Amino acid sequence: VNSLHLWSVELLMFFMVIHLWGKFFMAAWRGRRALTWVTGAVCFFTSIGTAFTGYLVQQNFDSQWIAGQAKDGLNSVGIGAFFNVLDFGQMLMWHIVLLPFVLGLLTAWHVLLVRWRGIVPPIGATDPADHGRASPAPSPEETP
Amino acid sequence: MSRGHRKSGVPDPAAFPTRPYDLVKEFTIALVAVALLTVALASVFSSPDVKPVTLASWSRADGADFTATAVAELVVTSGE
Repeated sequence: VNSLHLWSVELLMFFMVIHLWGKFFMAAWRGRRALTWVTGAVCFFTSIGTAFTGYLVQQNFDSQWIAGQAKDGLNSVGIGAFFNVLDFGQMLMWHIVLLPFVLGLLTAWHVLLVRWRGIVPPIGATDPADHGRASPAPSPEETP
Repeated sequence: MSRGHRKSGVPDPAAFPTRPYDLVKEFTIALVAVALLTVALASVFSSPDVKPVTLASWSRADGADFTATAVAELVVTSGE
């Protein structure tokens, strides 16, 4: 079970990074799709937070060491009282309730935005109805 | 960066020709493929699964050290 948990997370992060690179080089935020891009980015950061809290609840030596380091960083930005990495119960609930709930909502919103705004056409693509008019970046080969 | 004269230089994706596809089928295939990949990776590479360090394990491993530290904490001579 532990290995399935670990490897499903590894794959999730791997596919998220591939998706991020793909959409970055596609400039997929073009044409009123900024919110789709932003919700995806927030999903990515929320996943990192979820992975971090999951790491903390292992409570082994590395986990406690990292909690000790993170405590100083979080206190220095003033959120240590609200997000206490040394509190096992709090980190467990962040990991299994709050962050998965937020992540689920964000993912649903992200997918719905893709459905509402549509997928982005390739860079340089022109409206088929405008064919023959000047295009911002004409492709060398005309598609029939 | 200026692209085109219109407000958005990006055409509407609905204007392009489309072909039908089965989203549920594609989702199911992707889900099964990723599930199989997860099981394969987990069975081949396993995971570290390092056990937690607890007060109980510390006191069992070195009772004298645990007692000395606990007593020092109680009489507030530690960390000063």
